[in-house]
Amino acid sequence: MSESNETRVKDAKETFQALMELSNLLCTGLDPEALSICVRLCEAGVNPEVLATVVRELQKQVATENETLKAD
Amino acid sequence: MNSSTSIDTSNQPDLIMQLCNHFTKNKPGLSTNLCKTAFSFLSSPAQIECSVPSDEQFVVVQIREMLREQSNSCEQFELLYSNMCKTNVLENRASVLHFLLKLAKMSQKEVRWGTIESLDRFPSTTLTRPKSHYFLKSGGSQESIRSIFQGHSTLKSVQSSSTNIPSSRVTTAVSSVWSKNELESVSSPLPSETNLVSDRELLQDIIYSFHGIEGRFLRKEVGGLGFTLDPKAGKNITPIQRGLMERLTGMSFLHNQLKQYCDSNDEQGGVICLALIATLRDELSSYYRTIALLQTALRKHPHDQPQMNLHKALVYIHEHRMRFEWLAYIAEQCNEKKGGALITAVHGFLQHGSKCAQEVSEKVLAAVCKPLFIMLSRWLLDGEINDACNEFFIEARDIAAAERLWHDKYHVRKAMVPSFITMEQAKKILATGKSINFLRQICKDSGQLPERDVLQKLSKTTSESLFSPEQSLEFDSALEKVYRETSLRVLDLLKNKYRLYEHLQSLRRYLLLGQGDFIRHLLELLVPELDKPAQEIYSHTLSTILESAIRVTNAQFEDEDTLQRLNVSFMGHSQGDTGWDVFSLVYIVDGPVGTIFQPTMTTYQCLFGALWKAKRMEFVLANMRKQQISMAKIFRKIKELKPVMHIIHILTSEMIHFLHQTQYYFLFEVLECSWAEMLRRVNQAECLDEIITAHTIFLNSVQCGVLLDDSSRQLFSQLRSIYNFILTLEGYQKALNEAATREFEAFMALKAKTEKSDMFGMTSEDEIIAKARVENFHQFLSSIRTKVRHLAQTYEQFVKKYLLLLSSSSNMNLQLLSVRLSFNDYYKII
Repeated sequence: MSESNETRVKDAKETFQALMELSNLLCTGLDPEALSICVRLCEAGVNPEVLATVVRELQKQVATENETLKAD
Repeated sequence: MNSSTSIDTSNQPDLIMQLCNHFTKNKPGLSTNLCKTAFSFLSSPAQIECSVPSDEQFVVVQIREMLREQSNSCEQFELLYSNMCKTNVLENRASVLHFLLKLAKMSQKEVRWGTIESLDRFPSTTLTRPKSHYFLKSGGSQESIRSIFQGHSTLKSVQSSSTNIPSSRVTTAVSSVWSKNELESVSSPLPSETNLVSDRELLQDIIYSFHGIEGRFLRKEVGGLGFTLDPKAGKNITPIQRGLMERLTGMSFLHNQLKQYCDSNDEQGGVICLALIATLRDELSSYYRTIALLQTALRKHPHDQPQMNLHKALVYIHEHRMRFEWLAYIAEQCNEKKGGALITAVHGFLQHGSKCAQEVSEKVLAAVCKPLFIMLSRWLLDGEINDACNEFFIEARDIAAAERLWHDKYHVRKAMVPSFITMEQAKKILATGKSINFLRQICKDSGQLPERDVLQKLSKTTSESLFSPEQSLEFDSALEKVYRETSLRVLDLLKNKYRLYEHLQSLRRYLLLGQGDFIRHLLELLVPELDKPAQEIYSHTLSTILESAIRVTNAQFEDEDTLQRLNVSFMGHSQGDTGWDVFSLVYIVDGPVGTIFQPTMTTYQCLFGALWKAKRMEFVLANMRKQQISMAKIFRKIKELKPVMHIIHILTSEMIHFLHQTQYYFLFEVLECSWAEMLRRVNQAECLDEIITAHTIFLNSVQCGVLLDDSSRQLFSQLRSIYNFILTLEGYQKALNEAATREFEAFMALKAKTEKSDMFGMTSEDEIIAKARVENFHQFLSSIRTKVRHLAQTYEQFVKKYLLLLSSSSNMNLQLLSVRLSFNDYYKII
């Protein structure tokens, strides 16, 4: 039981690692935490395209916010 | 998917909240703002429209297309994707991938369209951003999967610069852990987030394998010649690399195969096999040169991006690969073969449609033909065979006698005749070398042979003349010329120096009874001697008789050499044989002509036997007739003798007719015709073999004619019985003659006695004696008469049987003989 668990965990880790690399490769700009949330959302059945738009939008807003902060 | 959605929907808002919070870590005020935006998007009707579940393969293809522009990332993606597919952790892989793709597309657009500002804003989207390292703490709990995705607190992560947290301390710490990875990345142009194996490393391994050496990733197949990727070391090799590696290792396999062939056949096998191996080694060394170039190209830019990659290497060795494929195939075909058979195997490839195969096989063939050509030239020029490994298609065997050199010593080895040499050519080649040996060893003729220069000129050209069709004509004509000249030389020597014709003539005269007067005289002289039992005959007496026969007849004018060769011999005799059965004349032939005549001497003996017997019968019958005439004169007074003599007379006439016809057939129809035919053939002959054939044909036809061949065995035994009847009759006549003489003498003595004494001088005793004697004589006469009558009857039976056999023979001449023997249908055989 524990053994299968271990392999599952290992698999999960590897999968996540792969996803992270892929994300980097595609230059999505997501950090691991954000990615993990997004993956969970996707797994939960959220429309990926909409989710992507949302994430992009959020990133944009954060960036503008930062800029304004910097400007201030 | 729907079911899972229904369960997890409650989580969605939480997650989005979490996401928003994560993005705005430092600014909690912003978080609510973001949440609002996010929810507004998610609840918008666009979601419903766009909720088409996308096909995973389609997404993958799109990602590939996007990544194509970057040199190495495609392979990296393939690796990552295959890793991802291995496990079933992601339930909705397509969706996740789609999400990533979409995000990437959007950010890419911004990079493309955006200003420097946007680049600043998303430094993480550029390729030059620092690497992000992270590692995962393994959790043993059942919820571990969730915890990985959920619990970012457990992820001790080094944030990328996009999160704006420059935690240099952590980075250094982690980078020290990953330093090994970083070291590798120096050589690799791409940031190695993975343990991806670079082309360089693989190439080095490949180069090792090209030499047949194991490397880091490539292991030798157990019990095989090829290489396989080590499953442990090759874990991080992308499928494309794997495919390339497998293609490249094919080369290693071919190399190993060839090398193994070279090594295993190096010691055994003859020169031709060695020539093949030398060619293979030559190819191997040129291949090693290419490998060395490959190695240099690999090392040239140690710090720059190496110019060599697996694709290029594949092109680099492509030509060798093609050649090696054919070489390996040829080597496989040549395995276990040697000499001519090997050449035949290689020659088969010359007709191949593939240009590469043709080139390769031509090169190999030229190499393997070289030793063959040297052997061939030596054989044709000097008649020497230097063939330790039995590779040449002509073999020399040991022979017992010098006369057998021509017949037995040299043979064509059929299995070793290369396919481009026809059997006819091979026979000519054999005959040429054989002739040279014949001249050198038997004729002791060491003079320079003519036309050697033609061949020598030919041998200066390449050995390719053997198999290339353009030059094979030239070779053929040269061979033909040499063959003819050599043969003519042999014939010239035989005819002139060794007097072939004279020997033929002598054999015919003495062994085939052509010299009539000599034979007749010899027969006459030999009669008393040969009537004795075989054991009591001595060869010196017979030799003396032979000498005297020669001295008296025309044979004395014969050449001294011929007469010396003539001798008498006895065949092995058994109990009851008389001299007639064992006596034979022999003619001794030696030296070069012995090659022709020596093997046929036994045939000559048989022929002599048959002809001699017929001759003797003729002689016997002639003597009988002579005796009959004298008896008729002497015993005219004895009236009682007449009826017996009459029967004998008739029978003798029949026999004489029979024998004359038989003799005529033997001498004129068989011997003369065959002789003329042979002379014609011998005159036309172009080589020694033709003379030998002509002579053999002559002997065979004579043998067949005098009923000595296998098919007429029955005829011959019949003929012998008929001969025996003649001898029996001779015996009867002799006995009769003796009895008659005795009677006649007694009668004469009685008459003289009575005349000498007075008128009645005959006493009663005398009278009784005379009466008894006459009675006795009459009895003898009647018994002889019965015997002769009986003999005549059986004789007729035998002759009839003989005639029947003759007329049923398939030979036309024998049928005609039967007609002649039974002229006017005298015997009424049908």
